[in-house]
Amino acid sequence: MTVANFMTLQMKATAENVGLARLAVAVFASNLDFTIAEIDEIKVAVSEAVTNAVVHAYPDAKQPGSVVVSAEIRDGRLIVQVADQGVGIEDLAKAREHGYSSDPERLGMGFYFMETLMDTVDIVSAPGQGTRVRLARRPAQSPHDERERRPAVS
Amino acid sequence: MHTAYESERVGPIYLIRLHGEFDELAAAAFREQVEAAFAQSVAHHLLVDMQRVTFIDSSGLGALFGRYKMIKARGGEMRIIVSDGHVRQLLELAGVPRLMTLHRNEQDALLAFEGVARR
Repeated sequence: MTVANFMTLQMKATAENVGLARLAVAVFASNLDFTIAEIDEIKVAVSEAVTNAVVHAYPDAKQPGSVVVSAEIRDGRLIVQVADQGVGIEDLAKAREHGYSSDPERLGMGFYFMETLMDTVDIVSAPGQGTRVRLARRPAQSPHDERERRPAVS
Repeated sequence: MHTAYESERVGPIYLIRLHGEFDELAAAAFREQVEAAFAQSVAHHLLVDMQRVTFIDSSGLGALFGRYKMIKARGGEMRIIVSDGHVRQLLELAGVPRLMTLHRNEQDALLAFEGVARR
């Protein structure tokens, strides 16, 4: 288990900062051999996780809390964590359902996009305990894969 | 703060040209601008030009679906102009083409509206 690089960004949970988070992760992700299309997809997934923290974690808009975005390159994989100390998610299974949102004005597609665009999505949350979303993705054409790949025809 | 998007009236159509990253922040500005325009009853249909949009997420998509519902409830039509690429792929992933026609340029989209107006 080798961590080749890491970074942490702590910021106010506000819509103005979502672009900063996805740009920082996009630049960081270029540590690995991601294609431009893969970076675009990672940006969407990060945007979804950070927007969730901005929109749902701190219901009192006058007192937004903070969101911490951290990323690391571990064993050829990009791992991104988005953590808030907000209200948490009461029913995680429901929150992950495609098309479900606690806010009727929203699509409920955030987790669907994260799951579609990343290799793995892990969420740890409990009421009053905040939420931590962990996203991971490996470049499709990574040297790591090359080593592991077996001949298709024997 | 977000500067207003460039917009234009073409007969019964309100054409709005988005640019840059269409996320939570931009979606709120778009929603306000379109609702203000339609509150004055300046138009019947909505045409959203996304050719210069470089990024979209579910907040931006939610704003599109929200305006679609509003326009539909008023008996109008909403169409979208979007080039091939990442933004178009996400619109497709979200199921936008099931409800709204995606065009590749303004001319085609405006012609399609004329067809609607003639009906």
